[in-house]
Amino acid sequence: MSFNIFTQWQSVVQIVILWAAVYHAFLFLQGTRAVYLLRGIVILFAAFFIFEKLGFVVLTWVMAKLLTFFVIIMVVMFQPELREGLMRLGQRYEFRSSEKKEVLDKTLKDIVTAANKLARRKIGALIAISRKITLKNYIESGVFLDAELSSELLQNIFYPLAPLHDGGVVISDNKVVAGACLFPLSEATNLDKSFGMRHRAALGLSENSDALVIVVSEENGSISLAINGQLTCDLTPGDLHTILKGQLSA
Amino acid sequence: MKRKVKKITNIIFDNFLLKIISLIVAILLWSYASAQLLRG
Repeated sequence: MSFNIFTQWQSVVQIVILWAAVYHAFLFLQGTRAVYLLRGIVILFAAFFIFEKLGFVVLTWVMAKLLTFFVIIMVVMFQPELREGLMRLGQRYEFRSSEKKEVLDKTLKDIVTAANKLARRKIGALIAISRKITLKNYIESGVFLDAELSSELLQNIFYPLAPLHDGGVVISDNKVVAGACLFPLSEATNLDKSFGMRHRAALGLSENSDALVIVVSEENGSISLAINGQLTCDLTPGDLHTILKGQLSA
Repeated sequence: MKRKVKKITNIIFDNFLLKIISLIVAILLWSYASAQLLRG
């Protein structure tokens, strides 16, 4: 091996290939919870190299053992994400475009109108609006739709005799991505006994992601909104619009 | 022509920070691997 390794044209090509791989890996991780794990790995690696350079033999040994376990834990914990990543290898990457104001206004109008109309008829509904953290795992549990969002479509989905009325709907980038999705149930013990599984699912999803989850109760027709593990109940359509706009514009 | 320039500008500056970070990580990875190879 000679010094040529740094000067040959192959080196440039190799760096470019590495760059593309790293960039696409970052793009894939962006918006998922795995990004927090990545930060943890970076900190652990940085600590490992610092200890090594300082000659802290015991700490270096401990860190090396920890890193080995960390890799195994990571593979187990992020198995769905890894599977998704491998499946998407070779597919065209979908870039998340920022929603324009008009699109956001239309999205809000459609969602609030649908929630209001469903509430008036006391038809239960569960609508999740995805933000930075993608809801891929929950989308996979339901029926993939990828349909243009409209108030009528949402009302139709939750119509009690419709096949997709059971479960939640996921909305992303002005599209109804999927219906009949299974959301995780919250294990909160302080939840009002009058709330059913729909409210528990809304709360559960908001605890596990940054999604905004709207629930329409089929018992009393009230509209609730779950954000970051907090449920706000008995909202008027105006309140819902204001909160959603504030959250989605931020 | 203007469209082409705009398109190229968009490609370069879309996720610019992420691209720069990726490039730094790629160079670091390559340097580390090369050093290990040189060391034998």
